[in-house]
Amino acid sequence: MNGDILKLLYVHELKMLVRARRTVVMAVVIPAVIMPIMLFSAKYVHDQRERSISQTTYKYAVTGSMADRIRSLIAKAKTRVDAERDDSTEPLRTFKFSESVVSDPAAGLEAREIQFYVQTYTGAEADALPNPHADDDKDARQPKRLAGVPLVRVVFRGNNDSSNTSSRRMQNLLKTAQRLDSQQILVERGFQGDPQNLFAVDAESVATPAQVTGSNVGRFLTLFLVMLMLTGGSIAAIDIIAGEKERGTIETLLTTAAGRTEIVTAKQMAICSVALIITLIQAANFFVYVRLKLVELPANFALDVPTGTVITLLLLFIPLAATIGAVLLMISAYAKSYKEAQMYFFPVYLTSLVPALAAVLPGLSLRSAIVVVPLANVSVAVREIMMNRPDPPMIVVTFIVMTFTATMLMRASARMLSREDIIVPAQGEPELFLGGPVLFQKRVMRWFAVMWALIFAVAVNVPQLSTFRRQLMFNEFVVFAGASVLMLFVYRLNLRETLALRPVKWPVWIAVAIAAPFGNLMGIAIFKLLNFVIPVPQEAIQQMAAIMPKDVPLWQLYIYLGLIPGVIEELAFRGMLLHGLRRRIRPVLLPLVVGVVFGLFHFSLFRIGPTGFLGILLTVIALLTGSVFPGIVLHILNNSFAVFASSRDWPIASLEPWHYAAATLIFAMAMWIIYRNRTPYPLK
Amino acid sequence: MNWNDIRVLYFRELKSALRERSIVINSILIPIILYPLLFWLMYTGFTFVSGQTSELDSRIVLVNFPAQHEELRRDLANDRRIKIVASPDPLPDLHRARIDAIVEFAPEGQGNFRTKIAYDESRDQSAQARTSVEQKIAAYRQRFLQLTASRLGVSREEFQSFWVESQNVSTERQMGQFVLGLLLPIMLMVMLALGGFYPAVDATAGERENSTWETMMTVGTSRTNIVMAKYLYVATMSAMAALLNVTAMTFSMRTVLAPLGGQIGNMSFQIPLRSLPVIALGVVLMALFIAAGMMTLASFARNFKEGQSMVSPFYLIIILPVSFLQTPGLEFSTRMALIPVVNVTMMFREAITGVFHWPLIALTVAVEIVCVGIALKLATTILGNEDVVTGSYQGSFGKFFKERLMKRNA
Amino acid sequence: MNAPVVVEGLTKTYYDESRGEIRAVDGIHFTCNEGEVFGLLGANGAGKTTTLRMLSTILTPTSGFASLLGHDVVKDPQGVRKNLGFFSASTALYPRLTARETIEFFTRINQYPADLVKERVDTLVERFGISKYADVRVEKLSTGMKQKVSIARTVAHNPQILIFDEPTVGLDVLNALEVQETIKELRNEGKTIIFATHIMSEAERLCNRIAIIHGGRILTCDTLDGLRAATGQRYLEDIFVHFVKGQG
Repeated sequence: MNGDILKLLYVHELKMLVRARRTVVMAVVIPAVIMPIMLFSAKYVHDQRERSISQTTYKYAVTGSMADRIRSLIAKAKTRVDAERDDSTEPLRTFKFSESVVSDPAAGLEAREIQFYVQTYTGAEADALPNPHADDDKDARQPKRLAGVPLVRVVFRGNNDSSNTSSRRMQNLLKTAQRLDSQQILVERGFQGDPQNLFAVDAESVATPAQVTGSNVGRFLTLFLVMLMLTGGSIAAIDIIAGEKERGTIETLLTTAAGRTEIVTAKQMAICSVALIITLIQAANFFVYVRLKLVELPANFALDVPTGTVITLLLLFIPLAATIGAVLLMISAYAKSYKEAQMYFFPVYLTSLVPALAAVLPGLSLRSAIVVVPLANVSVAVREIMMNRPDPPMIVVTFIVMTFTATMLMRASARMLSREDIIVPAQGEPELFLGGPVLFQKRVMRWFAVMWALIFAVAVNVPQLSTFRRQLMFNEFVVFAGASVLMLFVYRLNLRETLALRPVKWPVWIAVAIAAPFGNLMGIAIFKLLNFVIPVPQEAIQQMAAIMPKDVPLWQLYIYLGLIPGVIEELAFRGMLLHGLRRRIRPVLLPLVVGVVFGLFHFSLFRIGPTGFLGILLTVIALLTGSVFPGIVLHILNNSFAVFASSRDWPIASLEPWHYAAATLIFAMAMWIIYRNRTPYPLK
Repeated sequence: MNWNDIRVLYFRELKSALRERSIVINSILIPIILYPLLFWLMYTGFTFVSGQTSELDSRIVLVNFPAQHEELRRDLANDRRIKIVASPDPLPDLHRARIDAIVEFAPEGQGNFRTKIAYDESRDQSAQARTSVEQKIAAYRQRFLQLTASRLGVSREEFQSFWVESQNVSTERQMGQFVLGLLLPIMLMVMLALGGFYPAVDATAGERENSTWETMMTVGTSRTNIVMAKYLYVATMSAMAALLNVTAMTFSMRTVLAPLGGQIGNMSFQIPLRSLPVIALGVVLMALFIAAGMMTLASFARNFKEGQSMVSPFYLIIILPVSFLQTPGLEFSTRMALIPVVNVTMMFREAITGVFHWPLIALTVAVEIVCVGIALKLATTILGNEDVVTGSYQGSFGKFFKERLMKRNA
Repeated sequence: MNAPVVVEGLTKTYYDESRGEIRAVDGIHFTCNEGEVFGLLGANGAGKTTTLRMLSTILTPTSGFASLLGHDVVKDPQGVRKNLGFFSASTALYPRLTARETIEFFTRINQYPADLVKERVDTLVERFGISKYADVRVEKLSTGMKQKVSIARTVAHNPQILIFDEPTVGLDVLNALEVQETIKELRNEGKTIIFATHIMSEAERLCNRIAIIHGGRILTCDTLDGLRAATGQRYLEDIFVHFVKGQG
């Protein structure tokens, strides 16, 4: 790497960017103008809402046999609350309401004449009411209405904002009234002291205002930064490569004495600089707005950022900027023109924001598996640093992970830039004209992506598919089988070749018979191992347990969970997908890719690992035997074993570690038999 | 205007758009795949985090615990999310996040006590610990009062006095529509604008870049027909993208929310059938308006990139006001019905929640038709200028304005 | 192996999933001597551009050997590019740089001695007659002006070897003629020039030796007189047709 050349190129890139008036306008001026407009309007809308809530007098009605008593209680509670100076009762004090006379409150509520109404029942009336919650007695310790106690019901419309807000406040007021009432009874009967003061609790936070502010700001800081870097950086990145390609200057540059590494590095540095500069400009902007009172800060806002923190943050932001720069550069390098680059940007933008949201979720600590998730780890680390609670070893890990990600992405983008078909003007896509099997290879991933989206989105949305049987039928027959048949037809594929319908040597069958039960145990072992890194929440375990339906006869379960998925999924994944990818991916990676795709089709984070692992093994078997049949049999037997074990209540999920080790060993032996009797899959 | 020619030209535009990879990816594949992917990622992230935090206990230290309230200690110990730990020097431990809360008791006489909870507001886990302890003490207090009450001869029923509960008369379906009403109109607007964006630039500046613009101008039909066909094509793409995106989004959103259960999970996200005509009407009107505006601006540009920077401000002008309409309390008023774009957004929202204010809808439609008319008139006037069509003014509206319109007036 | 440009068995194959291997350039041999214009004559898609791109190290050869002034294109691409000026229809200029900045940028990036850069830029501006618009941004220049700046940037670092890939495509007669004149001048300065074209008259006028390339192979390589003698045809066009048709 030649430093002088690098500097020259870097300055050149920046000069080009600055001179592109439109780029500057789009990347810097527009965001700078929009931000105050946004802030101002947001403030305006918020103030409007606050004002309308505090100014509106909410109309309500009180009905029922206890109406008069409740009216007086409400009035009493309101007087009591108005006398207090407590922050927690502030909303109740500003709350204005007036009772209006309505003949039929329910109709009045429907016609929006009143916001809500209070329905009162005497104890006897309330006892006679049907109890809607009788069947879901979830928590017996929850306080309940005792028999004979009068009932006050606040009736509101949840789909109306003002009804929602006002009724909630009335509920709080009524609860205050209720508390006051019971306390009064106690005092009347000779209670010593004030019940209000019994077991009082004062809470005091040891966090400094700076820590609290840091915690709140840190929650969104990374997200905000990533958004700015992506939007600003993308304009620069697209101009810097896709634009250069379109203008034809890239070839000029490539024939100079500058090396490709230098060219790519200079471009990456330029994008990172732009991303960082935009971030700085926006930060400066923000402070100006704070000074201009466009943004009102919370009362105890105290941002205390010592030098050490700034340096740590910067240290994390540099690989972040490098990562984002590399991603943008890759989009730009992959696209053939400015327009195409623009197209790819939108989905990448949305997807990149998801990990940056990590810090928004409460309770996530950097000392967890999150530390290896790029972007998400920075997001969490930044918040911890801003809270003045840095976790140095984990920050180092974050830094290493991010630097590694940035390096890998930069290398990938450098490789993409030196790909020859990117420099040489595209000769069109001949496959498009040829159609058939070749086009199939290019499109197979797209098909599976659409299938994935279909299974994900359709089943829940179509009420007719809500039963176990129908959903399974839809997934297996409509999506997997349907799409496979469609692909075979559209691309005019050879049935036997595509689905790998080839005979295998007889010892393979013995191996499959041996392997079947133990594959399942290995899957469980993988699940347990992953559990150390990614703990499974309780709800997820319950959800998984619910997969096995109770009302379906056992013999049908073997068909629905064993036979059908075994046959159809193998034909789809080890047939169609493997055939489509066989030339596009290196043989070593082939099982991994097919396995991971197979795992992703199981959606739940905790099932991807085990199912993906089984998918890899099944792909390896298909590659070794050159046939889909052993996989089908193994898949059917494997699933049936799970059904069988659960029907007998076999504790296969809680065996000793050595049991799982033994299962793995036996499975490995079976694989060895298959390997010795291999008839490899034709890859060429 | 020759509708037959327009039809032929319109279908040519549509066909070539559907053959262009980037447009197909952008308008069809992305909505189908991207939204499920995004929602799935979020859902996966959510389950991941709940897995990470489900094991976290609230670690609390009890100081000077009053012996006669042993029951409270048992309450605390019995909660599996609370862990009572011992610490000789709790405050530094709290600072170092080794414990989550210090609960200090001070006797106040007659069996009463006062509690001071020291916690760390900046840590979610510590804030959680505070809430748990407060709840436990409140529950204990309630039981204690009840016991005292019965000792004083007050029955439990008497002590309860009366019972407060709430009842939502809106159905799950109405609740779902309420939430959809807040989100969908804005998404519809964004997607309409985004969907019209590329076709508008492509049909004008893109053609110029490919030098097909001149070819088009030499064919044997009037310029108005060509512009009209292009215009209808842009409007079609805009409407299509909006509907596809929003449908895909609604579907995937439900998949993610359904397993969450509770109040959100029970909501039924279904748009009432009778609101579809109103939504369709609004989509068509907006698509026509957006297409006219974007095409006019994009036609100044010489290439795609210029076209893009010409159209971006228009895009922002449409999106910005709409994004502030999320506030739940807003009501569709006559004043709002007079503001273009905003009125359609509010009309969508009301339609989704099943409310139809026909006079306001009529007013909205009238306002939008006038807007479309004005935009179209402007577009034809500008495109009628020869020098715009041949790509003068360096893709700058300002320049056109200065050189052409000002001069004419002078 | 004293010739400045040596090409031996140079091959470039693309792998296409549907059509299998495509040999864009198929084992070609030639050498160019100092101070000569070596013409590469071929129809569109004959392999000219691919060959030149390999020589200029934009593309990596699949097999074979090529060296420029002793620098191997595979092992020492940097050395090759330092001594090479490459000009083609697809080597555009940066629209947002001025003419002078363009020349200066390319002088520096090709590692011309730093202290001599200024002087060199002035010389080039003078020589190509671009002083009048030297400080105007390239995007504002006419096609002919751009062409001059383009040539100036090609020779900015005074390379010994120059490659011109269809330099006159899209130019009018006068501009094309000017380019040809410049090439002649450069040859007279002792540069080695490789000149690819499909325009027969240009090749006739400029080239010392001509190689006819078709389907990725060099069919013949000789001086114009030699070619005339071998085929008995007077005009290069006929000679070209003779070889290409004869090849089948």
